[in-house]
Amino acid sequence: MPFNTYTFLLFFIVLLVIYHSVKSWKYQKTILLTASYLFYSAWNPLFVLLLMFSTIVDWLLAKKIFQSPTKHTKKWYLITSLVVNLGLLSYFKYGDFLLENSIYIFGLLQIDFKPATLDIILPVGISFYTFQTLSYTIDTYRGKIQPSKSFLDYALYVSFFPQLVAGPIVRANDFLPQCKTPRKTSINQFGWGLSLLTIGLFLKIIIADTILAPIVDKVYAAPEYFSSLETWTAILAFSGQIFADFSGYSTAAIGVSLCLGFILPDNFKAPYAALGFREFWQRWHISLSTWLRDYLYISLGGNRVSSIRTSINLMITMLLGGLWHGASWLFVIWGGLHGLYLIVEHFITQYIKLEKPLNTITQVLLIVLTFLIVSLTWVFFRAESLQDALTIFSNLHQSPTSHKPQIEGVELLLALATIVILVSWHIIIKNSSIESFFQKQQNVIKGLILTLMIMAIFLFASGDDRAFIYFQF
Amino acid sequence: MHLSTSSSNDRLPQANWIAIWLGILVVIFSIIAYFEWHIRDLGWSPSVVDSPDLWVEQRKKASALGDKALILVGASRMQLDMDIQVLREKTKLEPIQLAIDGTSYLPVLENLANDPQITGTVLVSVNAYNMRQGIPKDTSIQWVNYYE
Repeated sequence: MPFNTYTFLLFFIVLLVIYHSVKSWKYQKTILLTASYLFYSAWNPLFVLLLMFSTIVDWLLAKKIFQSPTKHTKKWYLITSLVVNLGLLSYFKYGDFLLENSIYIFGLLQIDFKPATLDIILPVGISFYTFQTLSYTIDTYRGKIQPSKSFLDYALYVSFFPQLVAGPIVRANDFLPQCKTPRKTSINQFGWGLSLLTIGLFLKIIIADTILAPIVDKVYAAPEYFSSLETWTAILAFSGQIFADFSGYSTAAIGVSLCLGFILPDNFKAPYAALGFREFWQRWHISLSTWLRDYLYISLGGNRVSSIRTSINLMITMLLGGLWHGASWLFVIWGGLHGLYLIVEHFITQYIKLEKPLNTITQVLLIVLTFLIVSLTWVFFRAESLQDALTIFSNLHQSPTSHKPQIEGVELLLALATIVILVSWHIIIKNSSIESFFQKQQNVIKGLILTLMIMAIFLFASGDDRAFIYFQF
Repeated sequence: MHLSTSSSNDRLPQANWIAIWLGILVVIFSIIAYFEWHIRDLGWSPSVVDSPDLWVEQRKKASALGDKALILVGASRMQLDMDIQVLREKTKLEPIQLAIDGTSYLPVLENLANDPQITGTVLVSVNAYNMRQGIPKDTSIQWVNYYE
């Protein structure tokens, strides 16, 4: 039940009415938990059982970790949690991938290995809720949190429907304290929550699906038929599409939560205004990058070790971060390239110390350069195969007239204009926030912006049923 | 762009949200009502939304009609630029619309070629980038699978 459907709209309206008309906080939370399971079962009812299993296992293990008298037993319970969670994730997400690669390796060794294919269905959102439950047990092991006394609160933390299938990945110490006292939704929260839901849907339905996705889909489906101009446009368009798609979901999730009185963490902060890759990862999918930093990078030693070891830690983190996105070597290449950029940047900033801050023009040029490199790296993320990715790169330096144009000029122009506006908007709002932008506007302007967005959704939506990209992760 | 109110309520834009959202609803319903009234006044009426079930219904007809079928295969150009009534009158054949918006024609053509009951005429609209067969996640593959 994605946010961009009429089914969700109906579900949300009914839920709001029931949730806000009940007085007991315990009943309100029970309603939210039931709604969350209902929301999840719209994809596949059977996988609700998997979600419940993961919830119960980590609930029990966190209690055991907390109650264990010795470090040694705590460690064994933590290892059990890691094995169960990562085992399930590996089976459902990487089972087929591991099998295919095993067959390939056996083939190289000239061993005839033909196992039955697994044909595993990936439970939607498994990567997100697995990381949430893992953070709960790891934080309990590290003594950062105490296990929740209420199973209802904990189950709601794992399954809270706005962020269940595509994040943000919420930490227990951000969410569980909110479950202790009844959430009173103020008029400002409710009004702004609906506004964020509108902005999120506008980003997804208009920017991602209507303006950018058609060009991206065409070029990436058969890149050899497109000119350099069309290929460049598709590459830049995908940068815009994935941002609008994913940040659109996060924004809508934050808005929906706010209407229910819950506050979720930021997931994007103008990422295309990043100057360098370290800053990019501080602004892109923040809940994942901070998760990887806190539970993987720091566990490996982080930057408290030698420069070489820090580089290795960075690379391992980014390679696994890439693999988290999906069972494909292309995601590993994408993660590896970002790891490489971070290592190069780490050495540059270590050896080149600036005496005075960069001037504005240099800053903008470096932001654009970062954006271009990030965009080119997205090719590995989006391409269907390595061969397609290489074809796309080989297209880039061809003559613009080498192919008969396949995409209309207006479509190209609209996509390019959208990207220019998006990057400019990120640069403008880099040190500010969308909240402060809205705060500065008069009520009429606020209403006008939201009206135009809603009208655009109704009038110009492409009608294609496109799932949110991050659902597959 | 801080797209949430993570830290506190301080970042929440303060406004008369009740008035804003009531205003938005009134304006939107008025515009939609006017728009609906205006296009109906111009002679437009609601049309059918394409769906796998409707496509399967047409696909079955393509097999059943035999030689009398004029099967249209392709994407939006074939789907939206063909006047079925004119085709019927000019060709004396029964046009069957199997074109699917924004997809490759190849999975549909392959499905027709593998069906011995298809003996009618197939008219295909070709796009160069659709020449490659088996484009992943293509709607046409899903609809053909739904039929099979």
